[in-house]
Amino acid sequence: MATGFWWDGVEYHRSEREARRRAGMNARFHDPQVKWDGLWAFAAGVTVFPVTALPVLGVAGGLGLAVDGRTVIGILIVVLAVVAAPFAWRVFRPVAERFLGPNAGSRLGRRVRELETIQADLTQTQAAELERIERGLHDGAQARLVAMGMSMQAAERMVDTDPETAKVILAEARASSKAALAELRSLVRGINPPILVERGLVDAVRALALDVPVEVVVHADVPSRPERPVESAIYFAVAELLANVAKHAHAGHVTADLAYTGNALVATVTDDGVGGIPATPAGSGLAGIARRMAAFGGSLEVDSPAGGPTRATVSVPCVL
Amino acid sequence: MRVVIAEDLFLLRDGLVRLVQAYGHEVAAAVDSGPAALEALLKERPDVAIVDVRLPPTFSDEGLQAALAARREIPGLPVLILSQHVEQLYARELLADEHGGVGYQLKDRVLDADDFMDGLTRVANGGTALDPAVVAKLLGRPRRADPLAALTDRERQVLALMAEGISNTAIAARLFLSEGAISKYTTSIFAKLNLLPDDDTNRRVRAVLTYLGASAGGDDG
Repeated sequence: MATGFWWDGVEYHRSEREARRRAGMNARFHDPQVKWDGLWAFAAGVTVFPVTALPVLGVAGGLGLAVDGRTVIGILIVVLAVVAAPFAWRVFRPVAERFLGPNAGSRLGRRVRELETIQADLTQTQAAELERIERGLHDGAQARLVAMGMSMQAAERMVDTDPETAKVILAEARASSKAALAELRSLVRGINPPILVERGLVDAVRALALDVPVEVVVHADVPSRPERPVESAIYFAVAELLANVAKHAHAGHVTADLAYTGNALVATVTDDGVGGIPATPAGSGLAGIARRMAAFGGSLEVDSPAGGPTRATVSVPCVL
Repeated sequence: MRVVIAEDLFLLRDGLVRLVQAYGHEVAAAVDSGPAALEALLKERPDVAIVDVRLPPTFSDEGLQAALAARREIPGLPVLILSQHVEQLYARELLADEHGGVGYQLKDRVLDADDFMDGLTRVANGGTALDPAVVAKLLGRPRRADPLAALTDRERQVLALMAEGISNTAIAARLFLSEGAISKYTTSIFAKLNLLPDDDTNRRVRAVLTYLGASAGGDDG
């Protein structure tokens, strides 16, 4: 026994059957896309149909005249109609472009869904980043500082009674502070590489090229410094691409190109290694790069036939 | 010797001033920004300067730029650059003018006061004091045909210390070997790498670094 109400997508109904019927009706007649398609049928009826019908009528009329006895004029009209036929269809294109395909609302809906996915990805990436930083601080520098504090306290107690041991403990504390510095340095490098702050993208990529264990030639043609987030996104993408090359490609010649195309910043990493990277490797580092690029409205393209060469391009739209 | 110090963090600047004074040197100026550093370097013409890479007002590489600019005005003006991170790129830029009197070290090295002051003195005397981390990166650079492969482990160790700018005597002390043994190693290293043997530390460092491809300005093709 049904005690509640049934929802059809717009309003509630007493019975399930009624709700289902209404939902079906809504889907059939109230879908904005259905209206849009109806509009196309009407518009095509009054524009495309009459114009494209003209040549057909011409052929029929011309044949009629020819049979009637006015052969020359009849044949002329038939020929004219056949020649004109392709031109008559030109009316189709502008009308179709206007009325076929998703309407503005559907397009917007699709874009909203895309953006929702990107936002979810971003939120997740950010949370993971924060967690990594927190763990790095918690297990690294923080723990070392605690150890240092304890060592110094012990040294303080011993400095009068056992100065030799106190010295040893203090030396340990100093070593601890060095280790903490080293850990902080590598953490900072992962968050925002200092050279990127100091020199900008081009020199940062040059420094990167010097640090990876393969020889990389850098070409750069970027008129000015892009926005910091764009810079950082491209930097980390190039860093990961170069690391991949060093790890997997067995390449002899590697180039990294940075260029500004007028509306996008484009970085290309090319190597003559083994190639054969699948176009959409789900779950790999490349998928991560693609996601991050998407967040900036950019993209990652990988062209890697088996046997090489491999060319990976990241681009982010921006104004310089 | 007379020292100019450019460092924006008060505690570190103060610490450096005290450290330098504790070793019996005179601090000619202690400044906290890029423009002030350049001015002090040109006006004081110190025996050596300690300059932080990142300084106000822009907190980019102002300190490094000030040092490079001062060295263009006064070739060979000894500078020791301090940074929270070391980059081969900066080392190359500093060494590019081939005048010597260059140091480039992590700030952590200040914690080993003796070593740090040793390096500072070396730089003041026209020598070189490169951070072991930079040298490790330079030695780790890939080369198509790697002649370093011909070196023994001990020879590599000696080469790394030479690249930092350390003299034979000091290398001997560090590795607990006799000076004679070290000069045997260096002769063998120079022979294996086809370099001219040299006793002058600075020219020696330059030879090694040129060999490692470090004094080229950049690799832009």
